Amino acid sequence: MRSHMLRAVPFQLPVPESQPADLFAELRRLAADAGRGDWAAVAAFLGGLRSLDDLAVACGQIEDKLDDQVLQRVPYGDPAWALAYTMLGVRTVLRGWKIRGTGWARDVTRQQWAGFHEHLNRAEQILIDVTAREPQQGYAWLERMIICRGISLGHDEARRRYDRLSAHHPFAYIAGYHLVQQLQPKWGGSWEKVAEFGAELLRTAPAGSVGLLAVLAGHMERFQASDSDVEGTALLRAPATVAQIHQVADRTVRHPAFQPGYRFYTAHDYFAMLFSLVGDHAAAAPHFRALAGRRTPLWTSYFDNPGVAYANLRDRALARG
Amino acid sequence: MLHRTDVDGVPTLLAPSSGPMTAGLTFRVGLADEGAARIGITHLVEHLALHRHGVADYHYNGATGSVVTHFHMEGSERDIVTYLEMVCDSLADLPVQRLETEKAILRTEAAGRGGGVNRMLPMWRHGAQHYGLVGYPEWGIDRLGPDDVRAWANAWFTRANAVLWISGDRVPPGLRLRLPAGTLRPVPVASTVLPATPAYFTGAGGGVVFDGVMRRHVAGSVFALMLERELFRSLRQESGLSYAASASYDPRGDGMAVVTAFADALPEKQRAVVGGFVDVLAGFRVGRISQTELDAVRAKRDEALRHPDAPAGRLPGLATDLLTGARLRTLDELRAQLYAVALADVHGAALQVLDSGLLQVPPGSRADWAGFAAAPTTSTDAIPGHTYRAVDGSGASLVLGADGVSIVEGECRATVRYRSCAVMHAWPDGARQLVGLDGIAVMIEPALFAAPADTAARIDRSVDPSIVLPMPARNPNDIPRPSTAPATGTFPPSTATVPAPTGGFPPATGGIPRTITVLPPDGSFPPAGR
Repeated sequence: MRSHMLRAVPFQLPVPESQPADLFAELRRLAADAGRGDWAAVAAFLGGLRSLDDLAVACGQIEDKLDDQVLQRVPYGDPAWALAYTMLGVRTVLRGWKIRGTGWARDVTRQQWAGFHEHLNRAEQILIDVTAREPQQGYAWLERMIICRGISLGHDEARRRYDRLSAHHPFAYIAGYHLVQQLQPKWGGSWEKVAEFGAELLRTAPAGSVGLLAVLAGHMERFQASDSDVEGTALLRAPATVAQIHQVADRTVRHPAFQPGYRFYTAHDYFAMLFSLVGDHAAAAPHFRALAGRRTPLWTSYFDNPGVAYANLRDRALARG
Repeated sequence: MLHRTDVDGVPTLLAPSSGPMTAGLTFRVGLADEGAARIGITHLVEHLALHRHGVADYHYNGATGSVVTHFHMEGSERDIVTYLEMVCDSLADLPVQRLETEKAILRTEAAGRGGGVNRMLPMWRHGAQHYGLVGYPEWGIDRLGPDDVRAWANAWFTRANAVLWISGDRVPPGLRLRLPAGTLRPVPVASTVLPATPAYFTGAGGGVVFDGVMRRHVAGSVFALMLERELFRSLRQESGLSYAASASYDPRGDGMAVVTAFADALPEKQRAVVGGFVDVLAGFRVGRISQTELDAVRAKRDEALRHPDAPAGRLPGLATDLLTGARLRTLDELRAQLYAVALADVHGAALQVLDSGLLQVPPGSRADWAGFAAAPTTSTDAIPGHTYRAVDGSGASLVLGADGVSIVEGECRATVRYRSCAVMHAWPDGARQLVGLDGIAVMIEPALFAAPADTAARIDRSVDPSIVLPMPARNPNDIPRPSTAPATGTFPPSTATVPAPTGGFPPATGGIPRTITVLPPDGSFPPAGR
């Protein structure tokens, strides 16, 4: 992987990253409830969310704010039991990553690996229990997809977990995003597999489905993994790729049935960065307008100076659009 | 319905049947009684006993199981009398002149058999002893002589150790069973070599196999049926990962029963089948079982019990019950018990089976992440004694102690103590393979170690001669020699890890010494064609 500098204008003011809690008032309240340890309020709010994507975004705001003891006290039979125990699993995984560290695999000591695996195995066993009791718990299957990658259980198992999740939550963006991660060469897959999955989504997902955004994740990951800006940009500018990006736009952000929920900014982030990178600044303009000066952490995954890159691309798009 | 009588002192069970008469003689002897050095002796006796009857066809046959051996026949009363009297007369006076021919037939049979998908589980659970022996090759037969088989027949194939069963309303007139008196033999006491359960090991590819043990109870047979349906629904219908999925419930003979389950896997779906299998088991563990499913399998089971041939079909099982001291249950009792089974009973059976579970996963898979402990492939310690280094400088060493032998390589140790040695294979060139009761094997190639010239002789003096199996001379090219290359690689796997110097064993994989005796894919040991 290389870093994408995208030749910054030296005095551009970087645009800061916004967390979902900064972007949506109710998520701010949720985070505050969690911070107070008010599980009843948290459970009531989360219980009212209809899509797995909204639930995953919301949970992401509070997973590090709740005490294990609060979650462990939720009895089996309580409507929020599965949510609480999935969150326990997630927190166990986070502790595992803290032991491993986020550095290169070659720098991880034997002891760190052992601690990492022990935590992920423990989390997996909590989540096996959750999905056994409540197979419709998409949030638990999602975390099992992530663990599957962490302990190298393979593509076929990742796909099985994705399928089990999809049986109850079809075309969740976040599930597709994690399958795209798994299917990449760095996790033993190939770009052909990523492309096949993208084509599968376009073939099967209904118009308006937020899950189609995972096709864009595939393109951004491909760009990110290329050896140079020139090569990465050339890949994105291939006519078939540009056509596919437009196809996804037609069925999501440009489609009346599209209901992005908490993925609103993520959706526009994808189109703003992708249309800019393919050089179609006019197509990027409406997305920068929709973002209204905000950006999600998605930019941080793909740009070295995400705030500056965002500002530059936005200014170019809005100057022309 | 079920009548009991006796014929010449042999307890006899009679049950009505709508079809042709079937009769059988069942003895309380099987593989679990043999000992590792005599594996195959019961099968050999069974073959010899049937020899006089001519070439076997589907109307009559014999079958050697884990704790019982059956001889059975379908035909007229006269045919049955002829058959059973011939079997008894042959058992009392085995046609030992046929010994070598029948050994050759058994070797051919073994080469063609390959073994069931669950062949490896018993040896991983029990080692090279009693119930574990069903997984091993019939490596005892080569050494057996006329006196050995005669003595075996006299000790086990006796009047007191037999049950006669007949589907029909009477004992065929004139039937005589001329058997030696003997005693009823108790079934072996089971023990496990698994330090923790649930456990897993890596086996052959092609699918996932699982077994677990429970106290014998009708809820177990219901659980097995439900497990089979759920594996099929989940892995085949829902996920398309497997083609075949099955489960069975089999009483072991000692008051316990084994529930075994299997699902096959396409090569590119092996790890997903492990995941799906684990999730199916987890569903039962948390008690996600429905009354609808229970009702469905109960109806299926009840239908089988109501079949007109059910009373006759149960006879071999009832004979086994009688021989192993289990209470005989009538069909009405069985059906009453079946209808008394509640969801909680099925859950209770599932928990016993899952807690004692042993899972076989395909190569490249693990199950530690799902809470299964790795079954031991090496010993916990090495024997104290003289240590001899490998001559190629690889760092491996051979330890010869007063109480046993070890091969040590890095962290891995394989140890067999003489007092718990199950069998030793001895080659004329000095190579020795000792297999412990725990299933751990130590292969000693003296040429590879700076060991004394009389190493083989020293080991031979310490091992009970009755468990030594002399092996034919090896092709000189097959005898491992120290490598002349600089010692940078791993120790030759045929020495420290896999137990067959004569080839045919799968190579060690993943750098993990597999010192438990792993069988060749075709089930033959030693390799055929000698």
